[in-house]
Amino acid sequence: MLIDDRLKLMARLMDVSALKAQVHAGNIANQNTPGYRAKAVAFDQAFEQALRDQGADEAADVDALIYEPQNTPVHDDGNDVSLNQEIMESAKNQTMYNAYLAMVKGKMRLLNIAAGQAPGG
Amino acid sequence: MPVNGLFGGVDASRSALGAEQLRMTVAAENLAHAGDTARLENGLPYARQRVLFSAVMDAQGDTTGQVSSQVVASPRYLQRYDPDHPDADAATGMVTEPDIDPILELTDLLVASKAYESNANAARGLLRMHENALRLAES
Repeated sequence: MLIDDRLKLMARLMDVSALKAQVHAGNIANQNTPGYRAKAVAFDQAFEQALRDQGADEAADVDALIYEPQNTPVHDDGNDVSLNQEIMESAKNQTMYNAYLAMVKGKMRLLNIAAGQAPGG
Repeated sequence: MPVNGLFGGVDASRSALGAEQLRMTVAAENLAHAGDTARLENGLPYARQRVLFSAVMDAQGDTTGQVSSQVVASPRYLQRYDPDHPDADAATGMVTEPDIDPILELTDLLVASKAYESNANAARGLLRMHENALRLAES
């Protein structure tokens, strides 16, 4: 069913978004830790490709991988956290999370109407 | 970094808040002791303190995002000839004082306070995300 597919996708996107938020928080927490390598989540590209080429079910099963980018400039202390990038990325991520939430909310409202309940009731 | 519940990121921010706060405290303490020649039990004046940060690992050796902090002494001293000084060595007339550069300490204070702020903001963002998700239950 289309509704279930989309809700499943949204749930997956929110899960990954929460994971990204944690990774950003960890990077910001370690901005002054010598030798710390910033982490990132690889998911978006594989997700988009699976959604385009295979379908919603396969896309929802795409794994989110945490990795350490190797092409970043490293500071003298071996740390490569770029605070500006982390702050901007985490702000972006939060906005996306809220957007997914809004979509789930909209879907649930429709389901409520279908179930004979008043919108938002 | 494993997904350790909704609040794993908040734990990381909390640990960093503590670490940066410790760094600010230590910098302030160093500043307060600049030029402090009073001798302690070991016969030397106050030793400059530093805070070492290290990433907290889990059982698998992966970083958890949390940061641990540790205060270590970094004893370096300056000596100057001042035989009339009450803390001067009776034989040589040399006064020993901790090698504390106020500019270094103030820079440290500034960097730590900026880092503290960014971690507080990160935690606030995470909590807001969770809050919004919880509102789903209202609708």
